[in-house]
Amino acid sequence: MSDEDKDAPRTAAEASGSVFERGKSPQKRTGEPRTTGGTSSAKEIEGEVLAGGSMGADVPAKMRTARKIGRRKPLTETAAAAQEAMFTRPSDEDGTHAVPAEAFGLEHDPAQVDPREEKFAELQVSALFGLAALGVIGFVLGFVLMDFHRALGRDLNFVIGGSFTVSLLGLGAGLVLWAKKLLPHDKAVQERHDFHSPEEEELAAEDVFLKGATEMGLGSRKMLRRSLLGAAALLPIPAVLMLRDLGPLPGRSLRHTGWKPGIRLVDVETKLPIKLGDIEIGGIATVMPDGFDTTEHYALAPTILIRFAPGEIRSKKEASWGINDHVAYSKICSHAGCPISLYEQQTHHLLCPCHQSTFDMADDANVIFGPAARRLPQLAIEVDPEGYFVAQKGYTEPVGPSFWERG
Amino acid sequence: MNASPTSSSRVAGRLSARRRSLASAAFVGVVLGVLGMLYAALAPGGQASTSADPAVQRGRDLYNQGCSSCHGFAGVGARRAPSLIGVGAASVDFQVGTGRMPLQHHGPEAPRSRVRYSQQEILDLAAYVASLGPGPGIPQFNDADWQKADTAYGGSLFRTNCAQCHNFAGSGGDLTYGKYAPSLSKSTPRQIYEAMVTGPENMPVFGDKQITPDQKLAIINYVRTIKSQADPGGAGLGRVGPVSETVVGWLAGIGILVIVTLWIGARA
Amino acid sequence: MADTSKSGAGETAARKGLRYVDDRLGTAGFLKRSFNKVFPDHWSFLLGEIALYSFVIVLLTGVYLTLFFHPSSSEVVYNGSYQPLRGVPMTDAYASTLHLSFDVRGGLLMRQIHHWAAILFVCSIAVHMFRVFFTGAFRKPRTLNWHIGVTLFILAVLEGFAGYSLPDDLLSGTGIRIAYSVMESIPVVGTYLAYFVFGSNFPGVDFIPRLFIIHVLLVPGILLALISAHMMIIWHQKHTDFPGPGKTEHNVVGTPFYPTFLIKTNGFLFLVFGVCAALGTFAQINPVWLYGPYNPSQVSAGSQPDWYIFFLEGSLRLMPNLESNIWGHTISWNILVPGVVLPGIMFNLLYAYPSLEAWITKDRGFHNLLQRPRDMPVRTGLGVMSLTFYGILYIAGQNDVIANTFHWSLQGTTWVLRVLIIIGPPISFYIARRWCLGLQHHDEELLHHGHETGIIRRLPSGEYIEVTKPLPPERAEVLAMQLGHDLSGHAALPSSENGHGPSGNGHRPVGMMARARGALEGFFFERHEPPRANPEDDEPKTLTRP
Repeated sequence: MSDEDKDAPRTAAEASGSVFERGKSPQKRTGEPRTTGGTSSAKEIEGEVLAGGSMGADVPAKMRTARKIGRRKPLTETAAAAQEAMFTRPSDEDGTHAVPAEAFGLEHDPAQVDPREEKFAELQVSALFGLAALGVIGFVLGFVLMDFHRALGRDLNFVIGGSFTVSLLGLGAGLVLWAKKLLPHDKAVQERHDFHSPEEEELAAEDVFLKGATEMGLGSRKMLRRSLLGAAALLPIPAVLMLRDLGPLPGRSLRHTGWKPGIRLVDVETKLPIKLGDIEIGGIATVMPDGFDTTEHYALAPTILIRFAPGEIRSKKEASWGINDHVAYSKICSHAGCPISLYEQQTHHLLCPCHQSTFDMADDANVIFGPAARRLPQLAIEVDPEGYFVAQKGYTEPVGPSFWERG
Repeated sequence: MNASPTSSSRVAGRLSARRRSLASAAFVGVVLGVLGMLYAALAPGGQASTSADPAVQRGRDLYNQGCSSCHGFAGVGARRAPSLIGVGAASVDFQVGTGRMPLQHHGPEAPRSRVRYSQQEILDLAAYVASLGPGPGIPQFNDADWQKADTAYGGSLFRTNCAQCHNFAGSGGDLTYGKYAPSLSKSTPRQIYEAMVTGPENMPVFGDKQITPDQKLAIINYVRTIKSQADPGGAGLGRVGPVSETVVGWLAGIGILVIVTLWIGARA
Repeated sequence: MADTSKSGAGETAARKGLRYVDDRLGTAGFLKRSFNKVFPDHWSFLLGEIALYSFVIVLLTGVYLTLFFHPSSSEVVYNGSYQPLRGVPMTDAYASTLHLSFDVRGGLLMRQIHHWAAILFVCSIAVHMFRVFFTGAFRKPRTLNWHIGVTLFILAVLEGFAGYSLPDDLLSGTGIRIAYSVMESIPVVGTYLAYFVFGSNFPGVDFIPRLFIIHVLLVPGILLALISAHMMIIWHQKHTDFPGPGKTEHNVVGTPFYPTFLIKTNGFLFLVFGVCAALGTFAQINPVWLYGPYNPSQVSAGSQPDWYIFFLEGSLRLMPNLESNIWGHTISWNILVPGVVLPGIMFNLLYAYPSLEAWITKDRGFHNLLQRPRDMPVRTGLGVMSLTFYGILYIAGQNDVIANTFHWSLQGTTWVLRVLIIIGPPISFYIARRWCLGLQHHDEELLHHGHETGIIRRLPSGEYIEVTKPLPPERAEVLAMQLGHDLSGHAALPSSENGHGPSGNGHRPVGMMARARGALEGFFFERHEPPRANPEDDEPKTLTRP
């Protein structure tokens, strides 16, 4: 614990005198676009900064815990010389200029550094680096010795991931602690250069550019300019054409789903046809056209078959396109194409899990909520002589999300 | 087939599903009990059940005390509660066994809650309700059934028929206007089976001709398997997808790193 | 301490090495300047570093993942060690992701670190962008770097979405399906665009290989180039800093790059990596084995994208169901507006904001000192307003999970959010701006009265006064500068830069644009008239606030 330095100014303010006094020495703060040079050099700044003693802190010293540790002497003599040079040399040609931390009110009084504390800090950092090394050992042991497949690999992941984490955090924390506790805290001040070039240089560059442009004659030689522009404008056309075979033209393919008159409705998983009576009242099934190979090739075909209780269907069209209270609707949402089958058998709502369009399935899939603008297309169905559901015809309108040519 | 569920469950009561509208009920608590007892004391006894089976007798007494105030005598139904004729034992076992019945609050969804009857009482009630009209029975399983069940196939069926509401891992999901598909985390295999054959509340009915008992067992086995299986990547975060991952990413990820920047930026 | 001979040998070796490079490249001057490069050390300047380092982590882990991932849509039957999916037909992409997760030691760990680092990458870009926006760091001369930054943000979102889509699981497939629909909704060319991108009708077999190359080569290449440019510009222009004692527009005060900053920042790299590793170990992300393989006839409740797409998902959910049919052509506004137009407007506003603000405020000056959010109440208000708008869309993108968690009505939450998206942003603008003005007011009091000490004195006249302690002069000077007072004959910082402040412009606006600009300028500087501070005047200043 350090003693309070009784002689030190209580605040930086006391040390540096009135702000108004100091304010009289002009000091530029604005960045004007067209001034070149003439800014306060680092030398002036340093002078000002150093003159203030411990400048910057507005908190009385006793309210701040004094820094207790910090490297006060460089390791080697050469480094010491380098550091000395930094302090004494007014300003590098690049404007860099190191200033001791005290100049900014950071207490860094070597007299208050306790060598034991510094030793302790070194120990802390080394311990963290050691932890990082231990983590690597843990990783290797876990990787080599553990049964990989136990608990789906979770146990191995815990061990190697955990030790990897320890390794990384140890290394990272060690480095940061090293920098915070053992490296110099000197502040540096660096001059900022103007972001634009000196005006004469700008003018010169512009002149060279314009001279070249004049020599090229793009302004005077109209034919040359126009033919060049024409050629440049045409050049991308081959590049665009080359993209032609990225895919086929849509044609009418978005209108084809794979459903045809007389084709049987088969369950999407079992691929078995569905008989009248297989679905319970209040039941639904996801069906596909018979003979489909994979759903990927029939992405617009998925259809839901719903069975209502007698009298529940409110739409005449819906009832007439169905059979015996069974109706079939496209499962592909008319909004963004998600497959919808969140069916509520009492309210007859069908909810899309993606954007929450809600369809009233007892009223011909009317949209009662959400962003979908169109009803789900209905598939007209009937029952073949063997009692299986078949499509009367394909979908009479394009299935799924809207597109420009949909009409 | 000597498949697992008892033969009674095959006699699927297919007329039953729509009649129940469980979400529309309820007087509760003391009032309900008192009314029930009043009825029980005054009523000459259910006409529908003349069985001599003692379970049915006990069930009838329980029914008259606890259920008849809403569902009416002999399960004929009333304005606020559906008829129970033909719903079958499976429905009673599911509804009472998950604590959804007797209904505690009137709302869009009957939540799973504390079971208010003992296992024996539930079976008695189920026996009584089953005696009112034919319906799906309580399924029975044994270990041999699970060995037959094809988990991966069950998973495909689950994703086609169940995941859209109950989520990919059975964590539950939201439905319209305050209704929701509950999480399957507390559901027993028997309850899942019963829910499929009876279609409680707004759940569609999946009859045995559409999804065979073997397929149902496969689905249940898939649910059982993923429920009990480890999360190899660490904490499962509720298995609800990117929403919970996002919360962790912002709070634990960026949150911790911002604290780290404060530490690094702080003067020692 | 090392003994002299050892350190001498080390020194010689170091010198030899540096000479070797310098003899061939002439790097000594560059090195010396770089070593001395000064970095200000405010904590908030490290937020961008999180993004940089998570990008490094994503690159490292991503290279590892490419060794195992098969970008192919060809169908295979899974036969690996994850039992609940054995025998299920799936794409090779999905199967190889399962193989990577369950049959490669540490593969799942790498996948999870990759995914978490990607999440953190986008998160930290956003947080970094907030810092840059609210402190005015985007102003001249850093406008170009802001534009690069916005581009990086957009690319990071695209890159993340591509990566999320590659495993071809049920969740990501649903996301791609929606992306396809969004493409389809673009008038005239939409259908063709979708067909050319996917190589056929949805889903096709070409998309995953194409997406893979975009994800591992094209976008990362551009990201790498732009990040390098971003860094080089920072290096060249030097970092901004908050006003403080000794800090001016023409200097930068901080830690030299070498050694302190270098060690710190390397430590931070490992700490970011460590946090990603911790998340990858202990928090499961994107469990594709639970989602199942993609199948166009299946969907899961609560299908969500990763967080940075939530706002698009939300805007699609909140949009009313408008669609029109004009001359036999369908325009689905319900997808086009929330899915294409809205993000277009949002990102273009981000690009344009620095120029817009400079145009309105007529601020053509160079700025190296940052502003506090309160120094520019209207900018802060606009930022908070945009964030509110974004935040509501973000919440709407997960409203089903929220509604389910609290057992609210799904439709009810949507309606509440639909109302909020209209009234929320203006309200938040008003609150944020008032808040800033209140803080300015507080600063004024601090400047003119000083700290309250809590000591009450009784004057001989019987009057009670509270003793205040004046601010230290350095603090007062900085504060005055921030508040725009001309305390000591210097130009004040924020508004009246170059004499182009609200009242500095004596010209009458001519023309419509100029009049609009004038009106907007009045809106921007609708704050107190800076009191003409007289240093000797100790009287409390009254504040004229709108």
